[in-house]
Amino acid sequence: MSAPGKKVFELFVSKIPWTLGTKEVKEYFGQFGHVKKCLLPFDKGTGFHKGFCWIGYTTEEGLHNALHKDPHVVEGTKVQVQQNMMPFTWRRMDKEAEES
Amino acid sequence: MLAQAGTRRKEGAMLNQYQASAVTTSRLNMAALLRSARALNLSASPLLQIKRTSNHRQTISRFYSRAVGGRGIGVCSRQIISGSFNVKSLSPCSSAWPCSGTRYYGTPAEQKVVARDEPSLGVRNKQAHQFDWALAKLDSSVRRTGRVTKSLLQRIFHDICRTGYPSGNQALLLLRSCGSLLPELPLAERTEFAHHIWGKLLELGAAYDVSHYNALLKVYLQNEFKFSPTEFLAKMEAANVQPNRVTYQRLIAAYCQVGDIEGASKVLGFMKSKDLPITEAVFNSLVTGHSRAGDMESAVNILSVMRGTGIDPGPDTYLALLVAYAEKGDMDKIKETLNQVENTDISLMDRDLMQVVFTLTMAGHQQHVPEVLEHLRHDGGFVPDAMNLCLSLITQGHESTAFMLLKTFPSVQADSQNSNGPDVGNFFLRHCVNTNKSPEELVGFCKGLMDSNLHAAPMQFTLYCALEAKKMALAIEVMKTMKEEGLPIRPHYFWPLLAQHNRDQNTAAMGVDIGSWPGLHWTSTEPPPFLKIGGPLFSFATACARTWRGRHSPVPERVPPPRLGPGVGVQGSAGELGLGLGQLRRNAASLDLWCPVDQGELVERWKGEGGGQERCLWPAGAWSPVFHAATHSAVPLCSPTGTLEVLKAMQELSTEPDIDTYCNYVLRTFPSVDSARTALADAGIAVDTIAFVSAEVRAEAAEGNLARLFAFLSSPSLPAIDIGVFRGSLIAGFKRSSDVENMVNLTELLYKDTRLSQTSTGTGENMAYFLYHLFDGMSETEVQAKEEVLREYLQQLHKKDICIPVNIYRGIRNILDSHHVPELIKDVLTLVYNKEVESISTISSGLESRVTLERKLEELKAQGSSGDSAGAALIFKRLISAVCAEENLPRALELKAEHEDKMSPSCYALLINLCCRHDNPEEALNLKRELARMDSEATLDVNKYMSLLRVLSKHNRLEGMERAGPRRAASFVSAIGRNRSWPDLCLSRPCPEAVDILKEMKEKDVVVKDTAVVLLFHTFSAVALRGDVAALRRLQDTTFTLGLAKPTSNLCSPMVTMYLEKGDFAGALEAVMECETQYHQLPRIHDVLCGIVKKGDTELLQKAMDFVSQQRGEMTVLYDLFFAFLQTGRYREARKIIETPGLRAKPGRLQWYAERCIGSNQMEALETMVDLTAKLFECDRDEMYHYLLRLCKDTNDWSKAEAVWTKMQEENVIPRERTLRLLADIFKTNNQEVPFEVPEMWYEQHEAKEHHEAVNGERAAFRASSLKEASPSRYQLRVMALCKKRKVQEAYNVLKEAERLGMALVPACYDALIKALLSSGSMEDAMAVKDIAANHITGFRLSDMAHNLQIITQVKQERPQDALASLKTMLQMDQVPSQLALTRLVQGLGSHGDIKGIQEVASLIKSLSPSLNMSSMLFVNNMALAHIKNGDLERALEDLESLYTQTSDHSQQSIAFVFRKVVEAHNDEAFDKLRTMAERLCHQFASYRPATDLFLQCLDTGRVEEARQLLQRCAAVAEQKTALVSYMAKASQSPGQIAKIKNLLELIPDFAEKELVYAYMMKCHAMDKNLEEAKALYRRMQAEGLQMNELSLKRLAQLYKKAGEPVPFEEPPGDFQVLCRQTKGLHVAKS
Repeated sequence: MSAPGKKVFELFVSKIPWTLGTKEVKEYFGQFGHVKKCLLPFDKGTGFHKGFCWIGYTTEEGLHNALHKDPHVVEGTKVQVQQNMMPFTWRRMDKEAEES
Repeated sequence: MLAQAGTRRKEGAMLNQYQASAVTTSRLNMAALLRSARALNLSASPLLQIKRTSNHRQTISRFYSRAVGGRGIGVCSRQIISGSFNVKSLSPCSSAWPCSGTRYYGTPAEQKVVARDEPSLGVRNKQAHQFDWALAKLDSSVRRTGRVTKSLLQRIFHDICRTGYPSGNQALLLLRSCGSLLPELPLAERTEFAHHIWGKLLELGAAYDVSHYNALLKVYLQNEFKFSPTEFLAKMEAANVQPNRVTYQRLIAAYCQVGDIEGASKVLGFMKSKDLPITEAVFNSLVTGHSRAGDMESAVNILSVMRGTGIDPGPDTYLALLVAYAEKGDMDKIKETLNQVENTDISLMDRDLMQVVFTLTMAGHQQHVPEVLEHLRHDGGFVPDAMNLCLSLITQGHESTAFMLLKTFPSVQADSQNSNGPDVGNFFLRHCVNTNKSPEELVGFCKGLMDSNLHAAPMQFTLYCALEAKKMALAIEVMKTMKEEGLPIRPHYFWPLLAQHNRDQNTAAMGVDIGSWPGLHWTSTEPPPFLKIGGPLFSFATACARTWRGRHSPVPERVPPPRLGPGVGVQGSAGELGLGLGQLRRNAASLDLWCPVDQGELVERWKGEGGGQERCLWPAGAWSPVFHAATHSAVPLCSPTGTLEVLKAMQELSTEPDIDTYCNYVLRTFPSVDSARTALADAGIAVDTIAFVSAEVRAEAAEGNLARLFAFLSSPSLPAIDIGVFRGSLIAGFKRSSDVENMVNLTELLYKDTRLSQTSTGTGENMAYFLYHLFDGMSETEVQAKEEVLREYLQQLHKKDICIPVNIYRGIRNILDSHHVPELIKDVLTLVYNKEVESISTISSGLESRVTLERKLEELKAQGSSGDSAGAALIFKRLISAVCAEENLPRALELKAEHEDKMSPSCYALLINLCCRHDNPEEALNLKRELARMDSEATLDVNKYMSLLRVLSKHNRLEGMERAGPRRAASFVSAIGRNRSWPDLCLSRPCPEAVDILKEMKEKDVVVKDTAVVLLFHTFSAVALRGDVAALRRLQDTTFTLGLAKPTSNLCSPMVTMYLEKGDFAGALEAVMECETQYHQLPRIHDVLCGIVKKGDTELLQKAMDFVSQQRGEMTVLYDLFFAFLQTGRYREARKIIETPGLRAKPGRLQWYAERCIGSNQMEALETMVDLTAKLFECDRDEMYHYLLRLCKDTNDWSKAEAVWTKMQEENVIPRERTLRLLADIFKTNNQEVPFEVPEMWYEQHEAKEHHEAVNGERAAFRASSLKEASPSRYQLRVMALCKKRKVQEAYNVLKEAERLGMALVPACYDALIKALLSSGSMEDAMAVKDIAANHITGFRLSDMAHNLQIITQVKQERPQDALASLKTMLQMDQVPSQLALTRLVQGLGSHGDIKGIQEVASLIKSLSPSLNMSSMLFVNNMALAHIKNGDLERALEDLESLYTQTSDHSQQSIAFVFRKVVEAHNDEAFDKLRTMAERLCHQFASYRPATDLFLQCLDTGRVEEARQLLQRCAAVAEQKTALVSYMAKASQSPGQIAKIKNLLELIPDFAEKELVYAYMMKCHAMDKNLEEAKALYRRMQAEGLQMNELSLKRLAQLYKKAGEPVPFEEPPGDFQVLCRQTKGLHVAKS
């Protein structure tokens, strides 16, 4: 049970090029539905992100819209999109980055 | 070619060529020559730079006198002699030799002086794994890319150093990688690295053999390192390593590389004299040599010389020639040579042409490069090879030529649908960045890449590399260009630049920027000395280590650390030091770093150096400033100017930093938020942006500074900031704070202030979610610890009329529930608007217990078996199965006739199978039909169908329609009766009955798998053997079309085999083609092709090739042909095939052929394959040589194996450890010396050594030569190893030797030996060792285990008093005696009649006894025995009797031990009295235990009569079922006990349920491996109508299997343990 009353519909996106930041990723995936959460973890030691992120939609529809589109090409690079299979990642990840 | 015949022949030819030199040098020793040269002491002028006065043409004519024509022999020899003693050419090249040369080449004695401890088993094991890992890693890198990155190599080097004790193989692997495999490194750096590795590994104890020296030579050659060959040889000689062919070859190459033909000639002459074969490689070197000496004519002439000696110039020869022309820039000659090559059957690979390109460029003839590039074919390995060339060129400063090459790279066309844009040239850009090319140049390359459509985003990639390498200036320049191009510049692009300024929080907290500390620019690849220090500064040291790690050891800058002088040291005591070190060690481990010093050692050194004073452990001068800085951390070493610079650059590029930029990278470089604000403002950076303010809020929140935060947030000037931006930090702040007032204030602010809620959800919901997240973000302990604060907080919220929706409440409730703080729930509940009461439905458990169900099941079973007919049928089935097991067909058929009514489908199945086995298809079919009549649905299992099929096919029940007519009609009828359509059931077809079987199998869904497939194959083969094409085709087709079995190559092969047997290759090919078209299988294509090749039928071959190529592609054909040519000995053709451009290694296919060769002992074919695949793209060379060695092993041909090893060196192949082991094995079995260090388990190694030494006598082990290695650690290891191997006496001898040498070993070692000696009963020796240990180690004491063993040994030696003394010592030392030791001691005392002793022990361990779990009966029984021993029988009886009369529960009190001892001592008097007592206890006191014990004792000792009498007198014994059953259970645990159980059963037939008794009996039979008895038992049970449990059935089945008999019943599935547990569970449930 991750959130009361509201289910989170999550994507796991990988192979994200380094040029994209949280804002860009969120913007791109916003076209499929309202993005509630966008967690693109950065390695604070190197300053680069790790190439994957989680996108949480408020509705199942958003999730499905995103999953139905293939391929996802963001700024000329194909990113890999799949449904998030690791529901507990939210709690483990750095809380700070998710809020944006 | 390894084929010795070939080389011999060539060699023969060579002999003539080199007569001249042979005369003079045949008896000369090369090294002696060198020595004499050095003796002249004229070493000043470096060998390789001498000015040569002799005429090259003359020199060559000396050597190739016959081929070139010229001088007479006599003259030549004289010249050679003078040449040999040409002091100039032989003088050691001191200037070219690495200055510390001597360090790198240790003599064997030196090599063996290992400074550090011997490796433990774990270390060795780990290392073996690691080596495999490292090798795989490097190997895959080399195979994929043809290079190794510096960082990978360094990492592996560090890993090996860290583990210590490098193996020879690891050394070889590392050394080999230091040459051309490192194109990213300048040549000099590569050699330097190689030398570093060489020295370091030698220090760590690596043993170098000839392969290492050869590898080093190769590295020298590849790096064009100038060295003195003579000195090299001298070093080898000093190290007692014999040079081999490869060494000489490479020395020749070294001479040739500098154009020293004379030097080369001398080595050549020497090789000749040693009768070493002169291979193509030597000639190739000579081509280079002559050309470098400026004599192109001679260089060209070498080719004809080669031909003259019977060696055809190969691709490498032409390459040498091409390179020679390239050096001159002679493009015409290059073209001419290329044309010339084209006319031979040699093909030059792209890699070769790239060599030419490289040479042209390096020689300054870049203008010709495009012309050579045109000749590139772009085949298989083009890209990796071209990448390496590019990298090399960039490294050497020729990036524009490299770019020219890069532009010829194939562009992967971007498929907009599926892939990313093209990105050719990443490697190029990265390397340009790493080698500090100018921004302008890089931008130029980027534009060029984009223009030629090779790369979609080169700028971004370049920027990435610049950021990664922290090259700020370059990054900014690239970003400027990007901005001009209209590309976005995002805030996070600057993060990597910012990150370097706050790399480590520890250091940031201390205010020290480690990254900026000059001392951290380590010049070597060793970890920094910080890791070698301990002390309270571990975090600092760790931070340093992390910095170092993060930098992958930086570019050597050779900045010496500044010296502030001594006096500044680490503060702390030894204790702190230890603590710090432990932590440091852990930190270092997590960073994958090396931390070598053991804590004890460190403390020792601490004491030793400082005597308890505060002192640094490492030379204080060098690193003390850092400690100083760390301990006086108030003054930061670095101001955050770096950060400000980045921010300014951002401003310049008009990229506004976002909140994350400030929070994660900017603010933390400043001591406080305020100071950051000031500094930024001072630097002219805007601070009133939303991003900065949000960052401030976040930072304050995270600090837990709630009052300040509230003030800040409630200020009306605050811009709108969404809670989402700082929610996480706020939660963290709440968790840290207990400032309830401000918590409430802030929450209220969230609830009301719309500025904090920018998203669509309202403020109320926002706050509610915050509350939820607050609880969610706390762990159980956190919530529990803060419970009061939280309660107060919630109550305050309620007072402020703050409400939350019910769903949020539910969420929080669940969290609190799971955190076990339900008390808080009601406080949360008060916040809910609408207080719904939630009813929690308790689900009543409607499940019945498992036990009840099981009981029901049992009852049902019992009722079923009581029914007469069912039971009878069961027995009948068992009977049939028994008869079948006996293979008695007539009897089985008789039985069937007698009991037709009892025939069940399973009976039929058994009988059908029996008929098949007895080759009786007629009867089998009869039975089958009857079965079908009885039950049309009945299905046989797959194996029975298979036997039926086989017997039918075998008996040609194929054409026999007429005979089978009526029955077939019946079958028809039954088929129609079953309403099944059999459409293709027609007469006069082959194999009708067999085919019907197949169809029936399909209908009944019988799955054909595993063994059944094999049976099917045999069936097909049998038909093929008869040559019945139609039948075979029919059977195959039916099987495959029905989908019963997959048409595998194997199943399809019988058809091909049939034609091959007849020698009809056309037919065979047709059959293969048919299989391919129908089933996509190419069965036996290899054999077919071999046949065709052998026959020379080119037309047919063409047909086969066309077909396979069309079906399977060209690659398959090429391999097929390659193998066919190899197999038929047409090696020339095979070579042409394998050299096809673009062909890649197919490991699976190569393995297939290799295994075939090994299996059929085809050395020549295998050898040729290995040889021909040398240049095959991606070919695993070690694997190939391993195949060869396996065959050598099979044929036990050690000389061939040795040739293989030399060949591997020549080819620069690193053997895997298993390969070396195999090689060593071959040498050893042939009593040959193994010329390299064998990677073995340390254990075996030492054992072997010890064995050897044992032969030579004890003392011989430590002869003068090995004295040097006689370090305590070596002795320790020996002793421990021998102890483990139970070679106790040898271990003792080793220890004595160590003692003689006055060595002190570690306590553990003495302890191990003492234990081993005690275990073998050598008390005296053990005590002697103890004394030795005590001499060396003050306060040495035996370990618990040793003490226990000592007690046991003393008891065994009948010295219970000594044992008692030992026990006392133990207890004094707070050691805990073992149960066994105590038991033995008390027993020992008892048998000696030592009553006092027993009492003493009892009182001694009284305090310990609960933890020891000793039985009280131990003392009672042994006291009694002691009394008996002392003749005080009365006292014994009195004690025992009182035991039973005075206590109530006697069930656990067994005096069986007393009975046993008395019986064993043949003390009849005592026995009688005891018996009387037992009987009395039984009759008068109803204490049955003694009588039962006695009864069982009688039984156990075979006194059955006495037992019987006892039973008559004490009938109650028969009622002691628990004791009896446990006796039976115990007896059944060891073999040979069945008689006892039988006796028991005879005396008391009903002491337990029959099933149980039989189960134990079965266990006994299983123990005794007595199948006959077990069978009888089984029959008996069947006769008695008893069900045997699964466990027993399993046991029986195992017995059958062990005896090699078929199991006549279905073996219960599952393993023993599961069955045991099940059976146990069943008993429990029953009772």
